[in-house]
Amino acid sequence: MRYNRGSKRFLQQTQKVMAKFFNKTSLYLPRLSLAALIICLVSGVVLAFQYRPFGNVFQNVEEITTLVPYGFFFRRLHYASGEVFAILVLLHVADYFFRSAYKRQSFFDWFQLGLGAALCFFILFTGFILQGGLEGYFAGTILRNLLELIPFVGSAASHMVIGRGHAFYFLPYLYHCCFLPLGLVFLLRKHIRDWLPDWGSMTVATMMLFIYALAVPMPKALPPGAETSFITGPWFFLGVQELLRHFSPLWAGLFLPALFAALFLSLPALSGVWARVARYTLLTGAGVYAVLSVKLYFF
Amino acid sequence: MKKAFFIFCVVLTGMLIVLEHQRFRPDQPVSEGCMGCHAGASDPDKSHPVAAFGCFSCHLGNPYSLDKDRAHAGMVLNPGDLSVAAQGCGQEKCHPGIVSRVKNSIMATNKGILNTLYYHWITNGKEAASPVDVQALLAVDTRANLAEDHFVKLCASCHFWRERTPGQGEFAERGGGCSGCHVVKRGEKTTEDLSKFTHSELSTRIPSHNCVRCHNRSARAGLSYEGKYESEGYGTPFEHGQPNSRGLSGRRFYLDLPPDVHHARSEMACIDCHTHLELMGDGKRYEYLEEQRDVICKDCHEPRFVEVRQGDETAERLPRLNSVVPPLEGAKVAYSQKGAPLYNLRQGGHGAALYLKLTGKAVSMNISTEKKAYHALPGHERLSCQSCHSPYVPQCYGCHVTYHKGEFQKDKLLGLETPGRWREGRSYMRFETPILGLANEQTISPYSPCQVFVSVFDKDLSYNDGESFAISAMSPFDPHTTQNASRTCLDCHGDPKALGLGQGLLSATKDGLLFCPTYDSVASNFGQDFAPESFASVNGTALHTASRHERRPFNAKELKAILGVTPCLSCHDTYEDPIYRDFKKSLERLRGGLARACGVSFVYP
Repeated sequence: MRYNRGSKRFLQQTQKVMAKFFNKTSLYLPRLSLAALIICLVSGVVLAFQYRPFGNVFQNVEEITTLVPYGFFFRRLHYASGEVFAILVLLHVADYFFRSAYKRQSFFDWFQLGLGAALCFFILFTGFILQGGLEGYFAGTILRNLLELIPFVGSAASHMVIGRGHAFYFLPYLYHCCFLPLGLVFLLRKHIRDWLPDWGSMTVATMMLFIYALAVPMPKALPPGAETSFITGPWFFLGVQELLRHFSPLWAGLFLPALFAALFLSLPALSGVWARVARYTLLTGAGVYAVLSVKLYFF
Repeated sequence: MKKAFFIFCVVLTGMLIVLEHQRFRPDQPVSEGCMGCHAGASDPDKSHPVAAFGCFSCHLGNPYSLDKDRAHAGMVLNPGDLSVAAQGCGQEKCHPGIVSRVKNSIMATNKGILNTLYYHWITNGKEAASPVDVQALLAVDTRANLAEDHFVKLCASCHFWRERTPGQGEFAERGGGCSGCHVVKRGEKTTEDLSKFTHSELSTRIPSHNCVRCHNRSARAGLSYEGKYESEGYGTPFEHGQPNSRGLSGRRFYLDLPPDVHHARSEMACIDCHTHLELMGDGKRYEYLEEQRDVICKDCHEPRFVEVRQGDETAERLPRLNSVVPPLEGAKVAYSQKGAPLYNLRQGGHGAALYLKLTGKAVSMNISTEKKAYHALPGHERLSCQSCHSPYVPQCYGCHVTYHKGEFQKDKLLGLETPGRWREGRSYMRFETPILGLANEQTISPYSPCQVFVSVFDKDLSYNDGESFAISAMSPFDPHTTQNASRTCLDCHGDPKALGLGQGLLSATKDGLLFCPTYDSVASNFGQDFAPESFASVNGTALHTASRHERRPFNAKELKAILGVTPCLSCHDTYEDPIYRDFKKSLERLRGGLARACGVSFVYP
């Protein structure tokens, strides 16, 4: 009897500690992610003075990285802060999903925030293309080809996102530097107001990202003409890449991701058994996606 | 917190400034990032100056970065490696056609070795070609049968797909694609100063040493050419109480024997004979060496000198690339049977000369159009040059091979240890007079044995009788022991070994031929009832197999014809002797009593 009471007390204490931890995490996640976003925007402005989206983009990026004074630092800072922002957004979304916080949101607000989260990954994706290396070139080409598959409007959509020939990088550049960040800020305007980072969050984010930028080199990139036996896209699209190996591009690259996104965005509008089905479908989908990503990367 | 933030920013900014000043930037603008560190590298050769080519055009990588790790991403150390040669040496603006030729050549595919293994080990003489080549074996990690397993573990370090490994020595320097031949000296780097980098030297003047790296096994052509006979491993005569310094790879030693006359008299290298079509291939995938081979003795010794063919840039370009052989300047050149210009063999104002490709030295060629009696003897039409001019052939008898299923051994293609271990021993090795036989119906050639006794042991070390086997085979090849003087008539007509019967006593009785071999296989429990060097029996029955259907020993009719001359040779010992103008008629005259009586009491019936 004493033993059982002890165990029960231990469990209760653990649950309290964990709840406290997760509550605090919930408080800091959005603040830290916005701090990372601010750093990303500032460093991006600095880089925009040197970046040229025409000609030999890869050479230009390498020159920024190794020739332009302090270019290495701002490139690393921009890269790290963007990744950190995206990862924290993902954790923040997961946190609110598990707390079923969408039930307290209006459909319109949840839709805007969900779209904003999706937009942040698209910013990252355009940044991946703009590196100008072999991986970026293939990523842009695959995106263009996937967009072409959209019935009726595919050609127009692909022409609006990726250019042809020498103009390949120009549209992603415009999206990455201008339209998408503006769109993101607009969609998250209320969130930014509510979760503007305090000095503590700003200090922590700045400190960690600055140290990273000083100590960790950029990942190596292959020139666009290089030959390689295996190439991967950005980490958040590894699951799609794995799906594309087994299913048609229309299903793996468009339909399934769109279905996932639509289900996620419609959560506030669902109730009862449909809400539960949607929730478990999304959880399962996310789990499968994670497994596929790990499988592609490591095996 | 604000104060902490600003202090932190100041400290990190200071660190940033220090790091920025430590970063490497060249003093002068450079054409590519590589030149920031490697501008002082030596030129591989005159045709590939570093100042013009840089590094990226051959070694790939990232030419835009000044950071070492970023610049080396995707770099290839050996651009001649066949796996990357299409982007390295063989790129469109450099040597586009050659890489595909090399990939199809026999030294890359090793089809000849694999076909022969399949012929003897798998198909039992049904001459099915091997379904795989080296490239196909590289792509899989399992081996279909013992023949493939044997190849990848014992043979597969001599092919162009092999990656060169760091270090010196024969094994490290084998393979490497284009570099396997064209790198004549490996580069060195000093760790103190990256700019003082001695690049590997490239050349079209390939020394024989590069060839002998691989061609010192099996037929031992490279060794024989240089007058080296691989001895039994004793390392005698001892030097200072130790095995001598005349060593070969694999703890072998050699003794000195007369080298090939082309080496001894004219200092010719391998490339002085062997053309680019047979070394790099002509683009076609051949099944066997003899199909890819281009040059024959007559190409040089009975050349047809012609004006350089219209539009034949190769004939003009090759001496330019060689750079020590003088330019053509209107001289006539000889052509090989496949149409390769033998640009180093030419006829000019001073007669015919062979220019050595390594040194440019001219060797005067005494080419006579007059057909000498010894080269025009009726009955000798099928004799290859090697049949008469090769007094010795390396011969290796009784290769005992064991295969232990329970042990592991490195698969040389995969680079991993896989189940099954081969060990190879041999009974005895000789450097003796050759056996003659037919390489095809038009050619008589020296033969050498390839006898393999394979004992397979299961994991429990029990002998696996079902999978063990023995192959008694003979194989024709040019031993590269050519001498100026030919063998004498009796060396063939009077030597049962030359006829393929083996060493022993051959007598002619009224009932036919009687052969008593020196080695009594039956009494010594050898496991077969013929001597190891007996290619055929006295009635012409083949006792050994050969890896092509057209290859065989002399048949009964041929033996009779050859031995029919033997009794006459003791008196009629010159090629000019009138009886040999039509020997059949001469025999008829003798039998009919029309010829002058001679002391021969027996005429072969």
